[in-house]
Amino acid sequence: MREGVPTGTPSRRIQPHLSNRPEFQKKQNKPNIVTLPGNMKTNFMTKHLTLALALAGAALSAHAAEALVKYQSQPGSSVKMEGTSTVHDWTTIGIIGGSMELDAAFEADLKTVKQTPKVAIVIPVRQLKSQVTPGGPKMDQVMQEHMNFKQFQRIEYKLDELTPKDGKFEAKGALTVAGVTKTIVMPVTFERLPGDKIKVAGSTSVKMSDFSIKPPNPEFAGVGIKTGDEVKLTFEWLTAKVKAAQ
Amino acid sequence: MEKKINKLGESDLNRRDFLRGSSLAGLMGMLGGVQLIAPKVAKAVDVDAMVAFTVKVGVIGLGTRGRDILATLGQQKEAIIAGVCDNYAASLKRGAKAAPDAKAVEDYKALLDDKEIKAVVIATPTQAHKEITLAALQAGKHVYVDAPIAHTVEDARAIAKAAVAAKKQYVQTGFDGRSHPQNLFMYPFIRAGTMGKIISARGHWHKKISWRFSSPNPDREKDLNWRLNKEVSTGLVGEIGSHQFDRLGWMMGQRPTAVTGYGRVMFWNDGREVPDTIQALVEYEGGVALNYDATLASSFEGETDALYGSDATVLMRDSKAWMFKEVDAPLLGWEVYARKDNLSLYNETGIALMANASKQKALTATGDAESAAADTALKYAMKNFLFNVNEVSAGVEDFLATFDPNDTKALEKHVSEIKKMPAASIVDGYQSTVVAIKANEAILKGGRVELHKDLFTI
Repeated sequence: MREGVPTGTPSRRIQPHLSNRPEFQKKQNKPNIVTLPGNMKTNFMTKHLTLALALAGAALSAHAAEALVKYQSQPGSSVKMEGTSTVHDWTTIGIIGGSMELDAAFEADLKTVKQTPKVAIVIPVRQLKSQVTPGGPKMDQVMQEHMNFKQFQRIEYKLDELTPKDGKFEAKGALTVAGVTKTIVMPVTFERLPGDKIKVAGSTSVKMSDFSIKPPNPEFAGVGIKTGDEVKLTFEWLTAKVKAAQ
Repeated sequence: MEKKINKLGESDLNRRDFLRGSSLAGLMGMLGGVQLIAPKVAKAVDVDAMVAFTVKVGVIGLGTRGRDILATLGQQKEAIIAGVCDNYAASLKRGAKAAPDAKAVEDYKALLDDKEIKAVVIATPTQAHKEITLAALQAGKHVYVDAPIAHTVEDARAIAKAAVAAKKQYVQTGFDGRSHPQNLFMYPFIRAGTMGKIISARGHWHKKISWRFSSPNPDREKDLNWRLNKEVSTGLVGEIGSHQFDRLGWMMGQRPTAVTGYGRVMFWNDGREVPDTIQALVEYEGGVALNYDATLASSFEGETDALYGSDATVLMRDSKAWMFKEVDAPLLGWEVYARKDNLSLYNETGIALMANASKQKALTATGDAESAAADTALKYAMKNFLFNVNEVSAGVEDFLATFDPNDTKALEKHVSEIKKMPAASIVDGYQSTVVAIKANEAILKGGRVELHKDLFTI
């Protein structure tokens, strides 16, 4: 993927996230049958499936065969965007979806990174709401227009590398905004919460122009507003362990 | 030419660059004149011209009100009128002409079956609201149901219950004054105590009009004149007065406790039983009484609402309002700069209660305040309906795609936190409707009806 070049399928509609669909989750958990015989079901179909999967499993690397534990985004997850303008500073707040898959070692202590967690985050652009009153809805419309919302309805993030650093982590990943992907590096923290939950938090600054977005300069009641290029992103992502499908 | 980039990342053309690059400017420079030009900025985004979203709407009921709604929606760039419906062929034909791209159906169920249509506006005779509203909510549509929402308390409650239960849908009621900028501007003034202690309220609606429509078809004529049918009509107090009760009660922030009524057929002796002239006294929690009257037999004074306070009185008329201060009332400050209008009928000078109605604005005569007040409440109600429908449907869609779709509690919370444009909610609509129904009951029996607290619970 070339940096600075729009990617993605323009006509893509919003679909329930794949990992949210029950049938997908079931399939995801199937390898458990191979690696964790205790979970084995005794029905006829499963016996045959086990054989087939065992054969398939032999072709897979040891890496992939290791069971990953999935954590799914929970309501309450929020992302904050803070920017500047010639009138006043502005803030928008939105929701975060997606999931992460951790190996047993990392899940146990949230410190040992043997294998980079599989992290895929989505942020629906429409749910980024300007906190200014009045005029918030208008600002949201301006933002959606500049982010080419009709073509790209989500901001996406994929983690490439996680490196422990000073008690925290340095996360290197691909952020896709308005169809343009950039690699960003930011400090993040993992925190265990009661009830099989993990909170991931972090913050970084990005430039709108890095994603080929022209900083908006809307006009309200004859007053032209110019927004600054730099935007600070702060997120608090709440995830909960996905219970194995029954 | 070297371009300088300022901190916001745009080019800053300075005077020196300008002089170097232009011979005319050079000439001007030699002549000693300096042309002052604003730094060049990229063309601003025209926010008002943007069409950020569209909503496919169906309109059910194409009488005079339905056609008003069609015309109003037709002016909204966010509205795509995808369906029109009326069970009377001639009305349907007329409505279809106003919305040529819409599919025209006689049975509302055919319109509700259309998955493309996201929202419906229900403008049928009041007694038909319940069946259609419940079916529309069942079909997953966002609903605008006209006011009053029903002709009986039972129907109103059934509608309200279904609307409250439909967590993924947006429901708005036809008390359009709640969306009008003039009322929204006035509301904080009144609620902040500017008037001192509110001591009484008055409302009237006077018009010389028969309310009777004629048709060559006797069955059709009966249907058409549902307002004059005692069995289903809430009368003048329901069809008209409910809007005025709604505004005055909203401004006062008080709920009625009892209503006493009187009504007679005074002029239109055409066999009707629904009074053409009514009076009602509505008592409120705080001890204030609203003195209301309406008639179809005289047009004198038109429509006016007034709230009387110990420091000032507010008069509302034709989407405008004025404040009349008592001589011993404290000076607020802002009224010094406010525009004053001479109201000759009252022999009083009123302080205009309008957004931007300052003396300066009056001198420059930009007409901002006047034009905002001149727009109908229906226009703002429809504009806000479309906006709120889009916000709620986008919020639900994005929530379901982001989180566990089975987490209904979190979904409800997410939807309830969606910021909406001001409009009459189902609770507002229910409460103002039942007050009007009870007022009509009091008028027909010619006595006092107490409004129990339970009446207001859905």
